[in-house]
Amino acid sequence: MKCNRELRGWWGYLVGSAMLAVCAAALATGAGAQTGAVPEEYRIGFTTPLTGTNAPFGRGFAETARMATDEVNARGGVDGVKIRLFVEDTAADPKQGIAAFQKLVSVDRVPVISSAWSTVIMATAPIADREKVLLINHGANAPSIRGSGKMVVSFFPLADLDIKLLAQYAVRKLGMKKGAVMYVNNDTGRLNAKVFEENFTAAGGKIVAVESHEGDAIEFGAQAAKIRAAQPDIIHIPSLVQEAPRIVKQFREMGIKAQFTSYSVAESKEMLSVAGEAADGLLYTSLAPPADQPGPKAFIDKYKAMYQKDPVATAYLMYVWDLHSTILPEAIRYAKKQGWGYSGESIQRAILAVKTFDTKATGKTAFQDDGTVVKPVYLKRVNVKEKKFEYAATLD
Amino acid sequence: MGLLLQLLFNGVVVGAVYGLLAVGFGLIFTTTRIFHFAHGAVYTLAGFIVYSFTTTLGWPLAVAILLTMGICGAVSGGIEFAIYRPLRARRASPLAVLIASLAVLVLAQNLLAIFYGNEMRSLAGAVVFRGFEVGPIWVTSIQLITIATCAVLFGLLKLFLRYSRYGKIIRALANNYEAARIIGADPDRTFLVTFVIGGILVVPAAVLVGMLTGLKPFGGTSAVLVAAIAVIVGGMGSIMGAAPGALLIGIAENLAVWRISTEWQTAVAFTVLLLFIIFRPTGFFGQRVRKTEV
Repeated sequence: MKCNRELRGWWGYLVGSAMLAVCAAALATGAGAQTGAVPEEYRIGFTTPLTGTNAPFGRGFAETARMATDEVNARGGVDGVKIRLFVEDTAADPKQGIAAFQKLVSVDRVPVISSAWSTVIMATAPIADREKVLLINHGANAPSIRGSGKMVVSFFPLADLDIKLLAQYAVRKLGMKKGAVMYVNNDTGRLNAKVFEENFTAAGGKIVAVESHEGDAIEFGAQAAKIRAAQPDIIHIPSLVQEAPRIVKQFREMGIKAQFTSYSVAESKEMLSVAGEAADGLLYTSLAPPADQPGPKAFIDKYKAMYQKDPVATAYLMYVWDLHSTILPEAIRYAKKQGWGYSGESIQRAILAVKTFDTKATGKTAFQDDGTVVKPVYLKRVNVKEKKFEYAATLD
Repeated sequence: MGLLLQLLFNGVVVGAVYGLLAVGFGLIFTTTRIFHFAHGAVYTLAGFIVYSFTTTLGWPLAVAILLTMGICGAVSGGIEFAIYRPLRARRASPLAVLIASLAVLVLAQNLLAIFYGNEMRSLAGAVVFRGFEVGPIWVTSIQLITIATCAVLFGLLKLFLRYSRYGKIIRALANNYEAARIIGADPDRTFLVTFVIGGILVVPAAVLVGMLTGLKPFGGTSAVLVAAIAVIVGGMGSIMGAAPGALLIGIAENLAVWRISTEWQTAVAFTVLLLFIIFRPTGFFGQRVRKTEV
């Protein structure tokens, strides 16, 4: 009996050790084991708001990422290995974003997480660094994302890119010498104005007037008088969707004849219905290529065929599409070819090594060493007579 | 110098619009001693009714204005009849009346926001008003229309107060309430007339603002605050004193940005108010008030 009991004890140790070994092996098939050898599947995490006020956008993002993953897998995956997408909800809230990120890392063992919303990216960047998980931004544009973490790569252009190119274009191509800015007094407006002022001056222009307005203002007579007195050639208006058309209208009524510029807020139905002929010829930057170009059109057609509805926030969806259908599969293939395996660090290294990607929907992509991206910026023009927003030029 | 003159002219235009609202507010306050914050609600309502008539139904502007004057006169009179008069009958304190007025303002603006949405509306549609140079000043057609409308309406109101029967009773009640009652003035009926006139006067103000800039469901609060400041600056107790008070605020707001940044513009009206309260509490034309309660 004593012997039996001892034997049983030994068996206990043996079974315990074996179970530990199995657990360790099971854990090793997660993120850790995906380094080196080719895994059974390439796991990619995707966080987006599926609840809350941003859910209509977030759902479109997730649908697009799934569509891209399905298409890659239908083509045979990456050299025969399928990609598997794990989607988690952030509600566009940093706290929920952290919970979603941790779940993807510790339960689903994904080495790469694709995410958006500036506050969520900023909140999860330190965890990405700690866990050595690649955090790739597909839709947030706060310039503070640059340098927020060593494991952060931004495929979406940060807010200072388009305005920098616009200011340079105004001086070098349009020959504008005297510039003025009329911005909305919030973080976005102030930053946009600052980038325009700095780059307009650096390109050889001179800023002659800078005015601002509060978020709910409706009367801009005093600003118009001051800007008119400064006689600028061009006025940059980083304002809001409702206010920008009223500024444009009141400025023209005050006899200001300067060229107007703005950014994506200018593309609204109010710009036509409120500002009317005052908005004619207004130039603004857009990160979405015109929808009638082949790349964007192919994506929009695919999305419509798959989900039987029009895409919402199409420009952003195109970024999700290009990231999941082109950049990530190509980076995984490159890392495999180099023998780097599949880990957050290896995919980051691969993206920065490949550097340029032929992304069809959003136009050519060039990654910078700091993990940010340079994309073509599209300049569009308000055409009041034909009631449309037309392509004017590509800035790069 | 050109900029200074331009800002002065812009200030006159803004002050004229403030004046239309302020004179109605002042007329009601001086006669009834009610701080009628719901005046802002009637003003906002006026803009949105005209918007519905002209933009949604496609009626001519003149017809829309006349109809809206009728509606707003009735609404303003209705507030006096349904809210202030019962409160007066119950000898409610001025504070209770003020709170009731604020409640009407908040309720009406929220209802408008629910019905019309929070977006800004423009009565001018996509029309861009033409302008021309007068020396160093740029003048637009709508600015001239604004000044002319205000001048005509102020003139008409002045004539009404001086020569009409009700005008005389209003002035009598405003001057000395008890004495006016002794000689047979009927306060309830006169107050009703005063509210109706105040309600009619907000319509041109709302239309001009809707043309010059735009309408917001919550725009009435800031507008009625400026009107109240104009009445204090003009002098409590003076019916028409609100007009120069409003003009001063409009000019001060615009001239101030000659040297300071435009983002501080909204603080200017309150600075003017504080300066008057400290250095000239009776305003331009007001008499010394022995005792007043709010």
